[in-house]
Amino acid sequence: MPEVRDNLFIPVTKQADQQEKITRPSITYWQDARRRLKKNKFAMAGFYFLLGITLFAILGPFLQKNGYDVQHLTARNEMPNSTFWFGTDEFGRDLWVRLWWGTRISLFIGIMAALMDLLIGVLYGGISAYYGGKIDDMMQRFIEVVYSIPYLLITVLLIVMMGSGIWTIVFAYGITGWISMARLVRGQVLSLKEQEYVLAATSLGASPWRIITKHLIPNALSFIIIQITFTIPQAIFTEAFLSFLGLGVKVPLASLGMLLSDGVGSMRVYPWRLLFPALIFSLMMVSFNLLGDGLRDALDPKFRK
Amino acid sequence: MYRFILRRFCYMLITFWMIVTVTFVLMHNLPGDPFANSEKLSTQQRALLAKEYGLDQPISVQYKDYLINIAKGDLGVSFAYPTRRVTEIIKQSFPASAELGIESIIFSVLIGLILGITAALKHNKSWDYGAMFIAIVGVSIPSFVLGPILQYLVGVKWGILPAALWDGPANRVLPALTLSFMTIAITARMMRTSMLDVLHSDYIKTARSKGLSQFSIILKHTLRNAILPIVTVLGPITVNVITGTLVVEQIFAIPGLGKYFVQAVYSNDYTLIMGLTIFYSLLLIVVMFLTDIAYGFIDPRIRLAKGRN
Repeated sequence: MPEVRDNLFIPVTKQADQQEKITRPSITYWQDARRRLKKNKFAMAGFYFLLGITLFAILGPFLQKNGYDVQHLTARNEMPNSTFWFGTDEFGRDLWVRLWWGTRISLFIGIMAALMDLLIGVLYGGISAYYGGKIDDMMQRFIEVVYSIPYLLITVLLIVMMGSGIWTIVFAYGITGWISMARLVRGQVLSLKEQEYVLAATSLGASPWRIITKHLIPNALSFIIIQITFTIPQAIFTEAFLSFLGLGVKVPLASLGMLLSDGVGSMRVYPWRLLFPALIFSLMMVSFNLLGDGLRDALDPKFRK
Repeated sequence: MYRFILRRFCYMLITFWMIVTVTFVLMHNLPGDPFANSEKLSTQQRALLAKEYGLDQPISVQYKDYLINIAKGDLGVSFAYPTRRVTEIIKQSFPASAELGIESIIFSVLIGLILGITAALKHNKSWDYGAMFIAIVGVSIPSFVLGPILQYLVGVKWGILPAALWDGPANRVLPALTLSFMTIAITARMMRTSMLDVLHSDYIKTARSKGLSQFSIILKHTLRNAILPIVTVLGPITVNVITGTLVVEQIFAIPGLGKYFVQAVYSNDYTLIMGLTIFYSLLLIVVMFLTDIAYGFIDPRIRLAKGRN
């Protein structure tokens, strides 16, 4: 065993600032959340699937020369082949093009629903909770009333009234879909506004608008994001449901819901007409749900182990 | 507690009144009129028909009459079936829908609870992943895709169960299963979260350190507390079942309310659409009212918190 001499050791200098030094880079809340999310294989799979589906929805129709409404009357009900990758429907329309157009429309409806959630739901919940008292009471009564209206029935009524189409569906969602977001944000803001930093901002003379937008909403942001990942698939699902009842987008435009209900009608003879839309639709739904669950685990401290 | 019930009851009435009003306003702004499709009617005949149904009155009078009639429990006469009252149609076709709905709720609560409990007890093991996968698939496949596939495979190809119609108990299985697929998922997820919450609480640790067996801990302490929040799922489940019947009754040719609703939408049958919307809403409001009260009874924390507001 070699001899250990004193001169091998270098004494550490005692310096106040050195003792306080943080050796590892500090991690912000969002970096931490991203790290947790990346560890979650299911959520990441969902994320990449969604990325892929979105890319195909944007680029897919350009890979084929046909428009979504071009009819090839000599090539009706064709099996998937080298000309028509996903086959054709009973009017000879290219299902590959129609499928990705449909995905575009479904995604668009989902994104618009998310925007409605942000615009109406977040502000409504935020204002209601921030002002409290009588205003909160009244706004909550209103929410309670809207909440117990079966919203699909109201959507159906609206569509009957305004005629079917993408914007009607978006509008109908704008009327009823933001309720759960408003409730969630209200709950968050109610607990956040009692925090000291809000008191500090108020005493420094910050306006209510500034406090809501700069302090309260950013702090409730994680819950808002989680809610949105569940709003989007719900809106897409609603569109599919309406399409089945014949109240969806107008022909010859295709949405995923419409392709699905077309496919169901002909599945015994032409199974591929159901297979591809059903595959993409379910994949999209599963991905949104997995991503939403993963985000909740990553962002919400309650779900951490 | 009585004040809590009374308050909730008042909200229920206000909600109901608002729904009636909204439905009324929406229906009176509809494009087209219910007799537009019968082209052979002369203008005079049309005016006569409008008079008979009260459509020539000013809107405020129509609204007042409508409110009075609803208070009497009269939803008017259907436009498309002039010989039948809306209440009569509801009375005749609601039993099938209600039976289907109740069966599917039983299905979803039973299967959902089993899945949720298994997932929570085997947290982060393959059982958990399997159960949650079923739950996610449940919210990913629309019932109008699942229904026809089940109908074709089980009913036509394998011939195990009848594919459609509403004759015997065997006819109930496929529609109820289709209808409950999504609500199974909702219940399972809720039960899993609630079980996990309870399993990590202190009194479970206490029970364990007392030396109780795993079995009696789960049966006596965990399940009893974890099952409470499930009562709150009944509201969303009812919504799902109501909207689900619109689709499932079409697919399986069941003579229920949902079929009438869809037909009424196609044929601009004002009174029937209004009547059914109001009926469905009333059903939903009553279910929500009852769940709130039941939850207040089961969990004193809710009662106290709401009373203080």
